[in-house]
Amino acid sequence: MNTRRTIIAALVTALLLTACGGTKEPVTLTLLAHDSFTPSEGIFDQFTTETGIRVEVVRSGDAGTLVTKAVLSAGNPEADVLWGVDNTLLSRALEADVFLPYVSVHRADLDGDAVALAPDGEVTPVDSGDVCINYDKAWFAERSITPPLTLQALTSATYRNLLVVPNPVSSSPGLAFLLATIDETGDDWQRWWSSMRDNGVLVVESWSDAYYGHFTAASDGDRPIVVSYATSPPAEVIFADPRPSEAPTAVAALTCFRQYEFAGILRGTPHEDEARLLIDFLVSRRFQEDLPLTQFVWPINTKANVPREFTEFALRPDNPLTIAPATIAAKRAEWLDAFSNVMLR
Amino acid sequence: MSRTVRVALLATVAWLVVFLVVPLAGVIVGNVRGDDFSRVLSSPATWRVVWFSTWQSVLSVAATFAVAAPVTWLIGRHQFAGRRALRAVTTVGFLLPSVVVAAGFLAVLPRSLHYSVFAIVIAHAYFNLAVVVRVVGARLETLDRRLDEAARSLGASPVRTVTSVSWPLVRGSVASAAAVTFLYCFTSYAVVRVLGGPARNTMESDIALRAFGIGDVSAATVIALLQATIIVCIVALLRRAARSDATLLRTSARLAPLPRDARRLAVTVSIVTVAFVAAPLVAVFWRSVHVGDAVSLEAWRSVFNESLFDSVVASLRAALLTALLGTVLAGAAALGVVRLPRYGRTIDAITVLPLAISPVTLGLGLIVTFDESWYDWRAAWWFVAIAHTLAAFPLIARVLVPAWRAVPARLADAAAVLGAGELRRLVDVDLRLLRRAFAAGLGLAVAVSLGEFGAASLLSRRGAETMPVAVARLLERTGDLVRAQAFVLASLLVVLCVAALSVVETAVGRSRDAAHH
Repeated sequence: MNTRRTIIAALVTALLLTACGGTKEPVTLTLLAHDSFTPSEGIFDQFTTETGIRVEVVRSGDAGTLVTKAVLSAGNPEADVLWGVDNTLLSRALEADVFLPYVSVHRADLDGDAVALAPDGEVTPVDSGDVCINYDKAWFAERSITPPLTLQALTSATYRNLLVVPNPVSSSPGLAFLLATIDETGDDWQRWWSSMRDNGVLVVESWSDAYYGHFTAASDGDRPIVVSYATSPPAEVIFADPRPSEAPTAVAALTCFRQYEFAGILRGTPHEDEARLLIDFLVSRRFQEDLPLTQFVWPINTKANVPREFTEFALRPDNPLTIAPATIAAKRAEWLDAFSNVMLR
Repeated sequence: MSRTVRVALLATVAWLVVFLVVPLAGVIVGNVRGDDFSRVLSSPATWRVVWFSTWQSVLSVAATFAVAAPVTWLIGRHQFAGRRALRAVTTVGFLLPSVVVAAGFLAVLPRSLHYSVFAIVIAHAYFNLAVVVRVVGARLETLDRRLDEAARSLGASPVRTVTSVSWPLVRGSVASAAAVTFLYCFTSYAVVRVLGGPARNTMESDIALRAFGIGDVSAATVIALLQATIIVCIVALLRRAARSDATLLRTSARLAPLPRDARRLAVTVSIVTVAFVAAPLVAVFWRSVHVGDAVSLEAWRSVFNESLFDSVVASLRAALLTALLGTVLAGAAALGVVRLPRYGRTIDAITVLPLAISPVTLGLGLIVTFDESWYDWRAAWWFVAIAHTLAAFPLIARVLVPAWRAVPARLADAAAVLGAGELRRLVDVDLRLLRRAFAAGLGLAVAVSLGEFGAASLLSRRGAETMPVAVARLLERTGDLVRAQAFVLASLLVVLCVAALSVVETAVGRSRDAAHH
């Protein structure tokens, strides 16, 4: 009997000691991200050295899946910080009250247009990119055809059966491109798509189906025009062996829709203070300068240096198409439904 | 009702309640209101999807049986050199991640057949070939061919022999295989999305689109409920149509050697089957040794040097756990089905239940259920194995139940008379005789786990992801080397599955030979 009491007392003391000693225990933050989050290995080492906080990355499907899951577990999150909700999904997350607001110490250095989308610091912008029409330069040069420079041009018979696009219902660049057409053509957007349907546009499941399955410059496909990113031409250069002196593909600047990605502190985290430090690190120059060549996006921190391949081969449109996140949130379901009715029946 | 059976059954039911019923109830209660039903069920789009799911499945089942019948007959009825290898080959398709097979078919099929119903149906036949060969073939093996011979010598025509003797003995397994195939096709996701193009959706792919693309979890859940209802009705109808097999069996029936005049036919069947299975795989291997247009082994080298190799370990770990858990649970359920004649049919029906549940919905359910304090398991490495166990469980049960039914009750009675206790009888009589079926069950569980994509991609990964998830992720990235790496992992997956299968098959073969000496 006495022995048992001693053991229990010892256990309780041990538990209390562990609980009290908790402040000394190094905190490990969990960073929940979509599958395309692929920073350099060891990128968080410096952060850990400086703050004593460890970072564990947990990946969880594509951006849409990530947001749906975050909404379902709002207030009781799987992680401390979330990376990768973009402006097409942002309102869905904000309406569900997924995040704790925080204004980063680097805010003044960040792209003002992006910061304006979450003015109270609900989330912090972390990178940006443009979804645009890409075309195979050689294909058009060989045939002496002018490449399409506007969305309106694509409906002409010159470009019959030449365009392949990812499905906006299942693909994030696909949705961005649908939004581009809505911003550009306004109330006529459904008419634009039905004339595209008559002009032989091919809708496929994902970006990779389109780019690596049908695009003439990246596959044995027969479509020289594709919806992809403005950073695809530098990727074509960087991944080619030997490297060509100019990119084999080009971007139609007037067709670009700007995507911003955000990171936020998940409401319900027990480590809010540490999570704030991580947000600051994610928008610091050190982390931001790693982004272009690992994830083919632009840094959001205007002080960050951009690699030569980007400045040389990537197009940065001055006035990209865009739609306010609140409008997207209100109408996305309706738009996707209408799109499916026009294109997928 | 004996104690062992009761305990086994309780464990299985508890498992299903905790990991299937509670999570589903959680999703429904949390997301669905009454007007969601009227909104979704009154939409013509919903019924278009239901209709497409149904007719493509019927077509797929027919195609599967057309492809599988010759090779099932060959394997199930005859002994010949390379028989085991041929059977392993037919199983390969079932094991592969659907994303990879779909990519393989895109490479093999002419462009005019991309994004067609034909592409969907042929890929479904590819996946489910194994279901027919394993389920119907295993049953055919246990038939005593002397029954046929007796019928023939009594003057029955070959047709009459089949309709009056063989068919009544196998129709239960045929219905079983058809039901499982139908369910897999009905709930098919990746194949339909990749090979069917965006305009063709099954209910399952529609659920995923609504939940993640549109963000309408309520509508997705209503469709999942509708899907479950339809599946339950179809299964009930099928089971009514095909009463279980007549039981006049010997368990140690020897297979007949191939008759001389059937050899050429057998060779043709083997070659056609192997070519069918190999075509998309060759395409996958081909791509793994090409970086861009150049032949190169760089991707193979890099996968072994990089952290990508962790996903191989992660996949194997999850597969082993799935096999262990799944076999134990399905074994317990099968025991109940066989030993409790009064409840057997009900329990048998319950074992099919997990197939009726949309993996996407179940995944969401697991996430919203196991999310607090000590049972916050959302990112635990073994949590994915829980989901895989649910996917594998019905299949293992399908293999175990018919085999167990074939064990003569008299053997256990004799053991009881000789003084063997209940547990002793179970281990020494039943499990001994069922080694082959259990090995097949283990193999299938490993297969399901290694190839499973939907749940694994939905659950978060702390540490390494499973191989199919890694493949899908790499395919969405830029760069020739990265894409080649995806195909290296896919090729490794093929190699692993084949290796696991041959280990299982060899072990079974050995123990069986030993038993005969």
